[in-house]
Amino acid sequence: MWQEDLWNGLSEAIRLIVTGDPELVEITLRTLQVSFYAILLASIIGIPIGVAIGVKEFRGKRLIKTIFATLIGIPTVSLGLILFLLLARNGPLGYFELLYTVQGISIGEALLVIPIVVSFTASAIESRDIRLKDLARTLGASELDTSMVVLREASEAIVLAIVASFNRAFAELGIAMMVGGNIRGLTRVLTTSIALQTVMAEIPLSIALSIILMAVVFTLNILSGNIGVIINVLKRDM
Amino acid sequence: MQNVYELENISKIYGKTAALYDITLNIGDGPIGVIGYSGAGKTTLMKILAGLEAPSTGTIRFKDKDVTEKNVQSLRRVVTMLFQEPISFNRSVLENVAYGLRIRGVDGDEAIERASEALASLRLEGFENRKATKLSVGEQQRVSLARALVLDPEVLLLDEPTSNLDPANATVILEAIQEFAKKGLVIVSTHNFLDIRRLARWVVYLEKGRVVETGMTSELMDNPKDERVRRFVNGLF
Repeated sequence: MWQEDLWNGLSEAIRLIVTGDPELVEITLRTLQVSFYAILLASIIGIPIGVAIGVKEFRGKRLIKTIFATLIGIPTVSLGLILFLLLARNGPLGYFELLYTVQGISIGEALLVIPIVVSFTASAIESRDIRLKDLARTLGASELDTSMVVLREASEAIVLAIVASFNRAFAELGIAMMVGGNIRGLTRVLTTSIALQTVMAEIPLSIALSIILMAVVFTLNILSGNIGVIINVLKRDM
Repeated sequence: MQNVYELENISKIYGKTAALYDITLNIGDGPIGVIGYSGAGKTTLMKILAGLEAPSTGTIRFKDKDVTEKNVQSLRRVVTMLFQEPISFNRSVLENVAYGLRIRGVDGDEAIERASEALASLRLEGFENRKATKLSVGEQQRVSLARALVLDPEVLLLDEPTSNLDPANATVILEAIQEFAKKGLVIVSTHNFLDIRRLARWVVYLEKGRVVETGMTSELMDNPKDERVRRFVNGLF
């Protein structure tokens, strides 16, 4: 009976979570680590590009925005396959030996979410009052100062972009599976583990992993929904 | 007297529309009023003078230095502009006013002290910690002027500074502008005749992007030579 399976699965999942099952903790921490580095890399690359697109007017701007917006929807399995071919031992980037490593997954997930960071950052900046740039300039701001002002004014929306990117990286399966290989104790993350345990009929562990996955995503969404309040509190304390 | 600005054959074209057409103008002694109907090109001219827009053709010199494309940053350090509709950073009033000082490297305490003085000169004591974007339009315009004046600029450009203000706020603004005009060059664009007579010693009349007539305020407003200016000052289309 599926209801019985579900109930058993739920109670076992709760037991695993409450007792701090070592494998569960290890997989969760690895997933957080992989996603954190992916978002860090994506932010370092994506935010300056998004700011530049948002602040500057140049020929081809619309085309570049369209390309990044289109790449937001790239299927993770397709990107995972491309990265697998590039990072494979005999591939063009095989020299770096990133296949089946957590670093490889982080880089892949960073590539996945860079378009989100770029597009959301550019939109956030463009949605600010265009006269803010003129205001900063007429007060003697350099182009860098002007970009920093607009970035600060758009900070709430950019934080939301980062949270959305984290969620996307944290919950994706294709890249983690194809680049990471789902190696136990090495590259196994929440999503690949859920897929594997389900296939192996280890439903309790699958459910426990899913609960953690959803808990992290939902917590982030709740926090991001109140990001304005949080930023205001942080600014007040600074 | 040395010219502050020298504009030679300045045109500004947006797409297929010329906002300014072949403007040649020397600006030295002030205060200057720029007048004309809506769409005459006043705001575009002010933005070019502020270094916020580059002219499509022609050259512009500030104190003998070419600022058409190069040296724009140095121009912006000594020229500030007030916009018709006030705009503020989403920060406290004090942070708004201190911003220009901070990017000039003025240290924290001195910046706060000077910003507080500038706010007091615009009768904004007690507003320091309020969020600038939450103030009324008149209060925001006073904050904008304090933010400009605290930088002690050489030139203050004002684009319709009192057009959206009630008389009380307008009076505070006009008094502060008149005080600044004793030491710096004021260039004000407006179609408020009272403001022009009160603020400007010289007037430039623009129509359809061209300079039609220039002269001393009293002469141009009372006895314009050009029929188009006569119609404007008499309130006719």
